Amino acid sequence: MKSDVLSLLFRVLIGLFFQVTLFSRVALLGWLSPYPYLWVLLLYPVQWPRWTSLLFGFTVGLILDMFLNTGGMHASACVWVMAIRQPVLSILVPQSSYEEDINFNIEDMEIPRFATYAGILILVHHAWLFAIEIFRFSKLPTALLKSVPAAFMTLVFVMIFRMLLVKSGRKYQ
Amino acid sequence: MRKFIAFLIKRHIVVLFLLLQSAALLLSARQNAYQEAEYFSSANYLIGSYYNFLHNTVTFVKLSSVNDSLSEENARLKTSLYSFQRTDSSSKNTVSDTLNKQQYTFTWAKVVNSTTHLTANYLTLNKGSLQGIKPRSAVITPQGIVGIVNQVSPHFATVISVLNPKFRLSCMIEPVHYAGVLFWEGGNHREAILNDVPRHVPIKKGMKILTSPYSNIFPSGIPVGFISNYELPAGSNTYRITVQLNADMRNLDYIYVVDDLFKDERENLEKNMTEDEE
Repeated sequence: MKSDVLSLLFRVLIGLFFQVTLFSRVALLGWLSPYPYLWVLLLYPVQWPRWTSLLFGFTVGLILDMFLNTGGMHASACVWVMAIRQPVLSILVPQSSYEEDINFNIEDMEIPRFATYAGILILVHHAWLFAIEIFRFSKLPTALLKSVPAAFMTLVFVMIFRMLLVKSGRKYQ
Repeated sequence: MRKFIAFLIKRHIVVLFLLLQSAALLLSARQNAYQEAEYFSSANYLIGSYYNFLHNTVTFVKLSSVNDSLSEENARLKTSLYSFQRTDSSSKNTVSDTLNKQQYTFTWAKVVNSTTHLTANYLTLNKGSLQGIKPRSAVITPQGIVGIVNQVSPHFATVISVLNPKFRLSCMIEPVHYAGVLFWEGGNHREAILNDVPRHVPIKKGMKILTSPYSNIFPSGIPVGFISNYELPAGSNTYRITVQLNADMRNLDYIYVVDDLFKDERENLEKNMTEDEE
């Protein structure tokens, strides 16, 4: 438990550091900027109470908001991610293997299943973020359309993060 | 009451979700107001310092080009200084300084963080209230306009960039002296729109756009850009002018914060006028 908390804090630091220093400063094609720090939210342990995950998402999002001067937009999108995480997981993973197995770990999910899980949550996050960023109904379709390529790019970076920073020696099903 | 508490406990996820979501959305909405939520932005000391550090590391590479632009500006300023001296000596008039009161103060600052690709863009400066930066001051570069100071902390300030839907500025077209309202529509970071110029005004591509005397934040006559395109929408009496901005918002380093010493006086006077009308 204690080492889990430490590795979580470590991930938050790494994730936010790269997000603020690197990813929020690049804009491919002038507008496409990825948010790979979501990787930190995706790996939050499932065994911990759900309300802690909501608070965690809110805090991480708010820290990023402070850096990017966006008020509470990222916090809002992160709370959405944490709220729909459990339902998405329970569809993708058979109940028995995650609610009963205390050793179940998101890091142990095989790559295609993890990518589906991450992809859904990232898409929801980006769609919500871009929609409240524009905050105009007339431009809503553009915002939703923009979120698809941006979500794809974030997913690519999240997968790279996962491959680089996963603990070695873990078995993959 | 007990039932209500039991309900809250049973539905605690939904309740917490709604609570956090409304807190987050409230914060995003408050961000739009001037001078609010200083701690939740990069005017916050810790975050400002981090951006400062990052900026110092990154700009080391850019030093030579910054030097070039500084010496270029120096040269221009010197030229203007010498041309003034010559006029003075040829006309043989003594200029009494008591006649000309200083209206604007210029403070230089460095841009330590900026975005151009978001829907609403902001900058962070490395100077704040201790160095005399005030909210609602103009931010300019030698090339053109940059934005308006938004929040100020002791050591840092945030700026509403030209590339922000909240930025609106009265600008005029140089040889014809007609004013319109300049704003950014999103998209290209080098292009803004100028509206409200009547159709009878003879405009041409390439005409210069300057800040107008109507603004009580910007001094008049600061270069903004030039007309790159214009059209007359069907059924409209005013042009829709595309303005190519002079300042490259992607490549800002040293900027000037301009404070109008007579701003309060002017605003009070104009406020009284509108109150009288009511």
